[in-house]
Amino acid sequence: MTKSINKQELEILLLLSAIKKFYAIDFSHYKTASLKRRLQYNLEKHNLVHISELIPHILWNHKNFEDLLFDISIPVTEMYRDPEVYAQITKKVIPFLKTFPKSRIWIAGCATGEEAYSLAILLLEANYLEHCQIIATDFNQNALTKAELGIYSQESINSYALAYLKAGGKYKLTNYFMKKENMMQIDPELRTHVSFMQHNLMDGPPVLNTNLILCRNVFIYFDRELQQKVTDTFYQSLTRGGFLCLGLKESLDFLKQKRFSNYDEKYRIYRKSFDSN
Amino acid sequence: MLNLTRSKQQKLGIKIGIAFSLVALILIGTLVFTLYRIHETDLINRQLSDTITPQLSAALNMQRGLQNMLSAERDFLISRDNQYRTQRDDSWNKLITPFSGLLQALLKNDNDSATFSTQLSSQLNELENNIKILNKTDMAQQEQIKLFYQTVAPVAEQIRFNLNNFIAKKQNTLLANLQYMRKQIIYVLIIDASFLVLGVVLCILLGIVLTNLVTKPVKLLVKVADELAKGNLKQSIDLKEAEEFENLSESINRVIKTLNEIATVTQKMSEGNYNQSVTIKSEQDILAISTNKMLENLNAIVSQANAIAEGDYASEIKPRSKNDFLGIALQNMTATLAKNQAYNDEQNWLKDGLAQFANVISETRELSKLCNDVMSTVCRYTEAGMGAIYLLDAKKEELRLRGSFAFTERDHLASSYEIGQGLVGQVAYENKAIMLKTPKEDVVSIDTGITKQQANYIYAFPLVYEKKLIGVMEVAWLQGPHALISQYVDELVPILSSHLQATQQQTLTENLLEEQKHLTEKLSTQQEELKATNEELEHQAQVLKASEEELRIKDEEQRKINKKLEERTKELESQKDKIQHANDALKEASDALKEKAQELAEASRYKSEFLANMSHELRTPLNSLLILAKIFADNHEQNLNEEQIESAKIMLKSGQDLLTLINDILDLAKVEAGKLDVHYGNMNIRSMAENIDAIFSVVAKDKGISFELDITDGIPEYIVTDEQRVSQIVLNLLSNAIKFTSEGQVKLCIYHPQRAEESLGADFDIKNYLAISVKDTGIGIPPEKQKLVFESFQQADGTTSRKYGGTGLGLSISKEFARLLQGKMTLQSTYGKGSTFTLYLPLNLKAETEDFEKTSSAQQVTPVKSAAAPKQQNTSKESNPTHKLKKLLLVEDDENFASTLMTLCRKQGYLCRHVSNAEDATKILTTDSPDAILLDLQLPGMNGIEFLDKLKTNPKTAQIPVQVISSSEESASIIQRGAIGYLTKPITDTQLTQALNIIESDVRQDIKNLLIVEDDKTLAEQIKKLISKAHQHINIDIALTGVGALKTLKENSYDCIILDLGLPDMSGNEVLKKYHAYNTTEQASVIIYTGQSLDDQQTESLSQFTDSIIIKGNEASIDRLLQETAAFLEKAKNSKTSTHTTEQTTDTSLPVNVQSGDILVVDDDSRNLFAIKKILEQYTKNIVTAVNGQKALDVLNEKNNIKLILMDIMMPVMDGYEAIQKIRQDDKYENLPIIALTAKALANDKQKCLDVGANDYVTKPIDAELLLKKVKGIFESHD
Repeated sequence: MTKSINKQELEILLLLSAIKKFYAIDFSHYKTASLKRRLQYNLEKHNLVHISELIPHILWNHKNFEDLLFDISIPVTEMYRDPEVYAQITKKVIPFLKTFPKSRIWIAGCATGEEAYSLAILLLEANYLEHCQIIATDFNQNALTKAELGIYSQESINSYALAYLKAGGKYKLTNYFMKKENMMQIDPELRTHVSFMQHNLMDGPPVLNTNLILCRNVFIYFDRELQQKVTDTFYQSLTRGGFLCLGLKESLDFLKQKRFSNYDEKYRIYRKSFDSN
Repeated sequence: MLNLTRSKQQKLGIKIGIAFSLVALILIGTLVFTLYRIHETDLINRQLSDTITPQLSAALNMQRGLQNMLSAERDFLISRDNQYRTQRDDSWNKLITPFSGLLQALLKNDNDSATFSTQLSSQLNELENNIKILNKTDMAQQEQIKLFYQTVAPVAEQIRFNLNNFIAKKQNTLLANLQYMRKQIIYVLIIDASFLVLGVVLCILLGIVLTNLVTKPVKLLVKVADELAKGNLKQSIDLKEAEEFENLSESINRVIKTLNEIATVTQKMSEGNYNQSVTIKSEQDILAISTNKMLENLNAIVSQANAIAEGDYASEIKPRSKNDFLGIALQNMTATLAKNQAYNDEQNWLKDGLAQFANVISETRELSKLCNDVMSTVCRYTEAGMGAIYLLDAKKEELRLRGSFAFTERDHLASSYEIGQGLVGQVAYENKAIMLKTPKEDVVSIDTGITKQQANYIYAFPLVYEKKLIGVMEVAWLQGPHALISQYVDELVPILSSHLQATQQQTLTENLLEEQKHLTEKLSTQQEELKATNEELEHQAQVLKASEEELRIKDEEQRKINKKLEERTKELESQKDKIQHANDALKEASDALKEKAQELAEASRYKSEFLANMSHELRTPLNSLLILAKIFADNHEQNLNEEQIESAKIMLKSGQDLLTLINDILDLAKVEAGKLDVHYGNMNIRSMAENIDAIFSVVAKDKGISFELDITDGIPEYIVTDEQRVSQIVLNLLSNAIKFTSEGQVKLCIYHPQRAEESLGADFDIKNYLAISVKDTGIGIPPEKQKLVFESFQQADGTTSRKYGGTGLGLSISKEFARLLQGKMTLQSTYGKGSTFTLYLPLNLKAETEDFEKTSSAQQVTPVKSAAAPKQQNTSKESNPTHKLKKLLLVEDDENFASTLMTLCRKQGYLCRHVSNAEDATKILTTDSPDAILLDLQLPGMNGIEFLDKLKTNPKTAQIPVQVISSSEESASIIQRGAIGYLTKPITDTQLTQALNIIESDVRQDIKNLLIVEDDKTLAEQIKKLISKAHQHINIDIALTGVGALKTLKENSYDCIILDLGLPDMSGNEVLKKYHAYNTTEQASVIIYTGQSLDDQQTESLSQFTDSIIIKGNEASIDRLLQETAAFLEKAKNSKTSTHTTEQTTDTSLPVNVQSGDILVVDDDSRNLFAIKKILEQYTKNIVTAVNGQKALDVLNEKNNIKLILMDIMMPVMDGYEAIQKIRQDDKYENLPIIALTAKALANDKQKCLDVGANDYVTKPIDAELLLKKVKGIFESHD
């Protein structure tokens, strides 16, 4: 039994090193357990048995790689996930943003864009969106393409309605969507405030002077080392007094240096100290 | 010595002669000197013995004679004995006279003693005379004796005295001479010894030198000779020590040369070169003669060997003697070689022939070609004129001509022979070779083309393989064949036969194979065709079957789907229509609503603003009206009648009413405009209630109703709230209650609410609130109006206003106040029976404490007897106005020591507070910050060091100076941990004072100056209050106008400026421009605090002064203002302590090209612009900015002095890539340096920057040094 586990780990190792060498994306700091699950999923989808079979599968066919990338990065995302967090952002963060003539917001790991649009709607309702530049990044081009289109199934949008209200939404979520066949597309006006870019979190900050970074449920896939590295990136990117919002199961407690203050402990909102730089 | 010998090159003999002569010379010198000295001594000696010694002895004898003579005379005179007379005469004659004569004679030549001599002779004569006289005169004995003593004795004495002197003198001379002689002898001895030593040393030296002179060359010669004996001829000797040696070395060199010559020749000989000879020097030169002979011999041998080598074995060598083994050996060798050569030639002929033959047969496989080739090869090799080969046709039993050489078929000659027929047949039959010599004429003739000759020799031989005849070969020669032809044929036949056999066999097999192959191919093609057909058929069958199946299923499915689809479509269409309709309607409604809402909000805002303005405007004239009315009503001048006074009183009353109304409106407007501020503090509930009670019990009494105050036990003494506002609400409620109550009672209750009212809402946690309610038994409010009463300008009944008066604003204001106080107001009322208004105030608000000691007691933290302090403080505060710090926190567990310290501190004029452990101290610090802390290290629970660390790591408390007072010794580490000083217990009064002074000075250094530029005075004051609460040691000034601000800025230096943009006289931007224009050093940090919302252009223009812009609008703005201020002040403090450590140390100048013009910085983010400008400002002041690519192009077109562009990439409107491309399209800017600014993480954008035409790129955040380097790099490459 243990032997088979070792074999599998070896397979994963080989696959990751192949990806790193060929596609220059390093997954070695992703947590093994979740990675294994994602790989298993992709494996079954393509009717393959062993993870090592994925190596030729993705090396010789870029589409397959994109597909794998999508599966690895899939983070299930939805609009107004943990609505209380958004409520807190509306209540405690947006007023602060409004004290700036212009704010820059970075959604790190935006996947298919739901989070970016969720926040954009709240900012619009706070009358501040026009002063905002929202930058949403992900390393997965497939996901970004989807995000840029902003087309979601009607069912899913309907299912977000309650969360939207809980998050402090003032109107109706569907107001911000246009019907397109049996899908819903985000209002183009809203979309203009969000720019999507391909970016790997391991490469350092894509933008500076951000006032708010949302990086929710991304850390859970990373090991300590990568978390530390990404936190450094965020620190560099944030302006003084800028906010960092993590997932509910994530925290910065591992940091040795207290470079962030706990702005809202329960909802994992952190703040870069004011007298830095 | 060496030089001497070298320069003179004397003969050895001469050298030795000179050396010995030198020694001899020295010895002779010594001898002469010694002899001379001896002679000198001898002269002296002689003088001594010849003159002085006799003189002395004569004198002595004379003296003795004189003595004898005198004593004899005396004795004679006394005794008259003649014996004495004789004695006397004897003495005279024998001693005196001769010796005096001798002495005289001796002294004759002595000039020194001439006087003595004459004196002596005269005295002697006198003495003689005197004695004669004495003896002549026959006087009495007595007379004689007397005469003797008178004449003779003195003279004698005189003589003796002279003699004595003489003797002494001579003795001295003698002594002196002797001494001189002795000296001389010693002198001679020394000199002689010295010469002797010198001589000996010289001898030794000479001996050594000479020995060397002789032995060195001899040794050298021996060495050379030894080497020669060993055979080493590479020697030469060069002796120059002396002519003899030179000659010797020359002859030895000659010997060596001769030997060398011979050696060279022999060496060459050994190398094989015999073209040498040795010159013979004489007839006795046997060595040379033998060497030459040897050479001769060797040469002979060499030429012999050469001849042999060339194959000439004929030349014979003659042995010189029986012992000439070499010659004999050579002779034998030549013979053997000749023999071997012959044998080898034969073998080679055979081998070559066979090799050629083997080559030929290996090349050919085709039979007839093989036969022809074989024939040709054999004939050519054996020099035959003709040849033919016949092979046996086994079936026909005949030999067939298969190959030939120079063979012409002729009519009479058959191309095939039966066995036994003809020579060929015969050979075949016999299976034996036949050699024919001179065959019959006409049998065979060889046709050369020129001649035709008969072949004289014909050789035919069978070709046999494994004893089986294969064929016959026939060869013909004009002359005789080669001697070895039969051997050749013997060797050749088996090979050829086997090969022919194999070839024949192979040809046969190949033919068969070819046929077989052909057949197989034919077969497989047919098979393949068959298979393909089969497969095709099979496939077609399958396809047919599958499509049949598929079709069937599809058909069925299609039918079902079609049906469903039709239904769906219809359904969907109708749904779509419906939704579309609904959506449109909704959108319209929503739009309308939005518009309305916006309008409403706008209207409301306008209204509030208008009201606020109007109230203000109204109050001013009203004030003067009121004052005038009062003057009239008072009628001090007594010039008004009653009626006029009454009118004036009415005017005053109406005016006051109007003022109240205006104030109410103002309050409400302020509340609605969000401009009303709340000042939290500790409110003593009971005293507030009692104040109110005092007022209203009187009013109620007047109206004939009862008023009751009910405060429940257990409510806190203090709560944190704004007392003024609370009072206002309560007063309002009470005055309403009294107004609307004509009988019964009004009751004010303060209590902990038990039950939540519905109207409070679900999430209202009643436990956290204190309730203040006003109950009355008045007219009450009907339920439908209950909600309206809180609305502005509404009363329960429109008519009531007429009956009860009042503005109707009271309740709305109260409600707004309640909201501001984070509380709520509710109403419960029964129409006709009375109403209850309840105000809920939050219990747990955090106090923003104002008074240190007061708060501390409220906080209930380890109270210390400081009750007596306040008074003292007040006085001491005044007596010590210089103290900047007032509040000390003493953390000390020893109560006695603490109270002592407290007394000391209080005496110095400080407010002092004591806690006994760190935990309590921490608690206090959360609500209040002391100016300094006196800290003990040994504390219960958390110890002092931990506490100190905690303090210093918390940014809020880090700047509080901490003075450690402890009994342990850890000063160094304590200072490192951030303490300002360290005192060891026990401490004295002076020590403490000193410590406090240090703290004082430390604090004073920290005093920071802040300027608030804000036209709204109240707001400015409020900001000032907030900031001074948050920071100690800060000096805050306020300027209400731009001009005022610039004036104070000119006069004072500030660390930080908080600036409103909308000033009455000039814009904030202008203020900053002017400030920067005259103040270029040490500029204050600027925080913009403005109500305007700024567009890009505005933020950009501000970005040259600051990156900190705060938009007023909500609580967060204030928070941020405080945070930014704190950060800036902290920065100012740090920069003061670490004076400009960040100042760049490297080369600070930009290239001249850049300095001569402007730098254009393009970035959409004002903070980035600010940061970049900050960097660039270290080098140049000429910086222009733009917020996007399009603006950058505009700037570029306006200004023609741009020397460098720093271009951000990610920008709205026109991004950096596009902008750079556009710039590059213009020829003017083809070479304008552009540095792109990129975030480092965006994939490929660096390359992209360069691709579109940027000269270089820098990643953000920008490193000043790197940027400078890159700028320089570009200009250098341009140059």
